[in-house]
Amino acid sequence: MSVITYYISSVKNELFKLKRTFAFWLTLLAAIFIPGLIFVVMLFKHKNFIPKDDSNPWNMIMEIETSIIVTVLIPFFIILVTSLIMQVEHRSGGLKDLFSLPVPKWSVYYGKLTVVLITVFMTYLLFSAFFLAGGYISGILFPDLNYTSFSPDYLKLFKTIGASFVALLGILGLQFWLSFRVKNFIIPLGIGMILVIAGFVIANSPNDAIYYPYAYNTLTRPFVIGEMDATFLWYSLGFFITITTIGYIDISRKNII
Amino acid sequence: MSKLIVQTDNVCFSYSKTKKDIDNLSLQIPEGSVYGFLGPNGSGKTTTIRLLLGLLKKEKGEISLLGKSFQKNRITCLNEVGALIENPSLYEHLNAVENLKVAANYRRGISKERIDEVLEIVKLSHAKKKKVKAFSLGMKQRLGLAISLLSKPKLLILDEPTNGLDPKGIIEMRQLIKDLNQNYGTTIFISSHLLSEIEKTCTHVGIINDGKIIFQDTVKTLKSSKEGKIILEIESSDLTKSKEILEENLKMNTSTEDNYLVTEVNSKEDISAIIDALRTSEINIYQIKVKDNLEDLFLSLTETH
Repeated sequence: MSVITYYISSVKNELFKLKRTFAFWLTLLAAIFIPGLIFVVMLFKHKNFIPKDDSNPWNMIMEIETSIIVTVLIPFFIILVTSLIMQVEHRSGGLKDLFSLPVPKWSVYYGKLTVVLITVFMTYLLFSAFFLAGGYISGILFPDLNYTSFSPDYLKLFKTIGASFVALLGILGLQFWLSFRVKNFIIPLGIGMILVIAGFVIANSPNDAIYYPYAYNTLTRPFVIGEMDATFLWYSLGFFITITTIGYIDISRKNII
Repeated sequence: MSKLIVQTDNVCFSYSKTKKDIDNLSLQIPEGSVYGFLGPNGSGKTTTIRLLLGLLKKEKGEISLLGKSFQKNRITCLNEVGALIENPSLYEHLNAVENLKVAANYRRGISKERIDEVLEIVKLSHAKKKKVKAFSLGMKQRLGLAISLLSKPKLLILDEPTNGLDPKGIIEMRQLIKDLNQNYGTTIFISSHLLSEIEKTCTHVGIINDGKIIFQDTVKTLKSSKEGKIILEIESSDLTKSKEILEENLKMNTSTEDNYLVTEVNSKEDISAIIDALRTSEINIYQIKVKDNLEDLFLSLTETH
């Protein structure tokens, strides 16, 4: 088999393993949570959302929803979902059978990493869909919200989401390695939480935060209001590639007990 | 001697710096054999299996599977091996067929029919669509075995395969091992801490203690190495009187263990002499047990170290 066939069959298998797992439902839940919440608020208090002037009313809800998503929700989602996806393996009796299969070890590692990336990417896509659906439905229910006479700034939405995805790759890479290595569910979860919370503090000083991947979620916030400085995204990408390479070397040399 | 399917030369491994867990291990498993790998708990059986599968990094030595160096041909070697290590790794949220599908996808050219076939072999066809979460320990063990059989391996490695099986399951497992060996020519490597288990199924045996191989040959040779003395345990109505008769009339050495009188004879004919002597003194004999001397041999081999 070639490199490509090993990789594709590994990704397929990893996706198949997620059938009926909580990781699958969590993806849906994470995507619908904020748009759903805003929609419910809209149903009861739509008067608060009526625009005061002729500006695009979409801007306000987009700002509210995306800023929560990119700074808080997705980072915690990544920490939780990488742990959950790796738990499928650890709970089945560890990595011994996975690493005694007639396939290269890298295909297992990168196949699983790809599935985590797909899961996170799906969450962004589903979030966008729910956000747009929520906006249009409330626009139809309450015409005075003016949602139907404007259209959302799609470009800004996708730029924000794209930037956020890249910004969070650093966190994803480290969490993935931790969850792969450590059998215990709580350890990667706890470490991730602490690092993210520290990130909120470190983000207050943007010159230092650029060296700290767990603050990149907060650094993405300016994208929401349209000020963009993308330098840290390169740092995030670099960190992701480095950490997943080190992670793979570590895992492949590890004694599987 | 026939071709060797597994050969290790002076393999060493340690979990910690202070102790050698596997010490200069040299295994020779002939093709077509049923090889019993015997040793007390913690002697290094599972560690050896993990070394054979490349899960642990050996510190020294050479391992070859099917005549090829494992290190250089990891994937080709693993393609010919089916393994069931300790508890099988199963995805509990998936059903039996789905678990087999996952395993099949990792290997080349396994048909849907083969999945049904292996389920039939391990007698799990009735539980096809049942989630593994609801399986009993024995069923899980059998599903694990089904997974290791999927690719029709040339070498099957089973780590304590009868663990958690009921007596019926154990007998079925023994039969299955024989069938696979005789009908498909599969070489089977079984680890166990029970000598009786190995004696019933294996052609060859390797005994490991403290990470060292202390015996390796055919089961026949092992048996013939301890011919001669037979140890008897006698339960009778009068222990003290029996002891007197045996020691004074028959000039035998005896000892007592619980309610049994233990003695050693040179041949089976001597057993009748004991019975005659006790019966003439009107002692009732409840049972005479010939102690399994292989079990003693195993103990003496593993305890002297």
